Amino acid sequence: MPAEEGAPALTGELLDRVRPILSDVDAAVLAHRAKDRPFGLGCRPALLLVDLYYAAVGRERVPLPQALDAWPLSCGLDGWAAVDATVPLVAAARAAGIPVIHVTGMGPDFTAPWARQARDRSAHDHEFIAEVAPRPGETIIRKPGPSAFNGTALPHLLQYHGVDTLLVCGETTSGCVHATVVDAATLRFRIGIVDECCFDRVRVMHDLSLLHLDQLYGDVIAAGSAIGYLRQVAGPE
Amino acid sequence: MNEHRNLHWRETVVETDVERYRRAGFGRSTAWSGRRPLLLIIDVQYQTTGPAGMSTEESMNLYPRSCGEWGWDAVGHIRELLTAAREAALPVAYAAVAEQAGPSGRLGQKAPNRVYAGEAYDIVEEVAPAAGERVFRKTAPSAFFGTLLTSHLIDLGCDTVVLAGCTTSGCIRAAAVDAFSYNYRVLVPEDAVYDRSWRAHCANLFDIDQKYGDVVGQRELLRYLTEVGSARAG
Repeated sequence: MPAEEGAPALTGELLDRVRPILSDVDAAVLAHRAKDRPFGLGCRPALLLVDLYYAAVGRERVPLPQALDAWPLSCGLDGWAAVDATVPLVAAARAAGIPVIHVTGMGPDFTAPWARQARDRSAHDHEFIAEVAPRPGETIIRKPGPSAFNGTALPHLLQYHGVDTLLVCGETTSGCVHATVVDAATLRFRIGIVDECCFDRVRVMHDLSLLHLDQLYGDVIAAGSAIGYLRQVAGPE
Repeated sequence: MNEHRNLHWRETVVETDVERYRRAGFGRSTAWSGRRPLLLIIDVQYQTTGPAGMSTEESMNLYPRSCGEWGWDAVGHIRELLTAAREAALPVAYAAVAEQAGPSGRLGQKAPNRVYAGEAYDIVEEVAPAAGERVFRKTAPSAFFGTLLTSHLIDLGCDTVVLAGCTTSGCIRAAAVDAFSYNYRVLVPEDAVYDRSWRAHCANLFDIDQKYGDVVGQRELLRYLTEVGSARAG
């Protein structure tokens, strides 16, 4: 079906953000690749919150790198800023009757090899951050790897809701958000990645990932545009 | 070989089974509430029907997996559904057994099969794909396994799959289970699916109808396709 709904993608701005670290050749390649208009969004969205648990931000608002002493996986104040930016988006989705889906890790149930080395328990604190925590009736997806699709019932759930579009928030932009967006695109969902609501431990990874995702798989859109879009579309069937 | 024509599959189910399924809470309908169906034609290739006009026995001499006359009877019904779907501008897709391209693994171990030359793997001409209709080549019973079918259904915004072709107990059932698992509504037209075994066919139609989808008649399905087609156009 045609993607008639949408929001302006931040394509040009994303390129500007990374320009200082690009060689002339890289800049030329990326500028050549840049899309001339958004891929577009559908009309039956869900809001997907990826890994918004305390291990990713710590339980106090401490800047990096100090935050790492107590919270080795913390993204510091960038994480908290994104959480704050996600609050109104979640509220808008709930008000519009749009499904809000919370994705998290498996905790100690099914530890991944790359996570076993993090002995510190705070690295496995998968309790949802209170500001954006699930409400009763909202779905929680527990995933064994980076992508919210691999080894989970997410496709089943999205078809249940008749979803054709995902608005993606969360962390890390270069890790689980990136993996989830790639799989969502492979499954032919339309995707909005919300700029202010994604975060990473390393800012340059965040910037490059957003640029990459916007060029290939979805539209990176501003939180304000995302809220406008949610208000514009009707709730799911 | 025409034993399948003698009794309706519903009449083959024993009353105690019907009662047990009823008590278990199975058998509710999910049919007709979808508005965006896709017609999926599964394994209607010459290796499952044999050449047109040949007896089932002769067919099996040529292609031992062939269902022969029963297949051709179903092809007539599939063709009718196909025409209705195309006239209603509803999406059509195909799944088909891939010609062996690599090690066949457990399938080759369980059921060794000759690799045929020529038309064997072609989709039967009477129901062949039109331009733009996708064919998903598969290496396992389910049309969903290792194929882009799920992506295609999402891309088209479908909420229902109509499964036609063969075999009822094998690839139709496998697709029904997976489509159901992905939360699609499943419709199986009883006259447009075929099998080698009439008993396996009847038992699986009963089971699919009870647990995963709805086994439906040709006329009511044709009416539905026309209705949703005109609703989409309008």
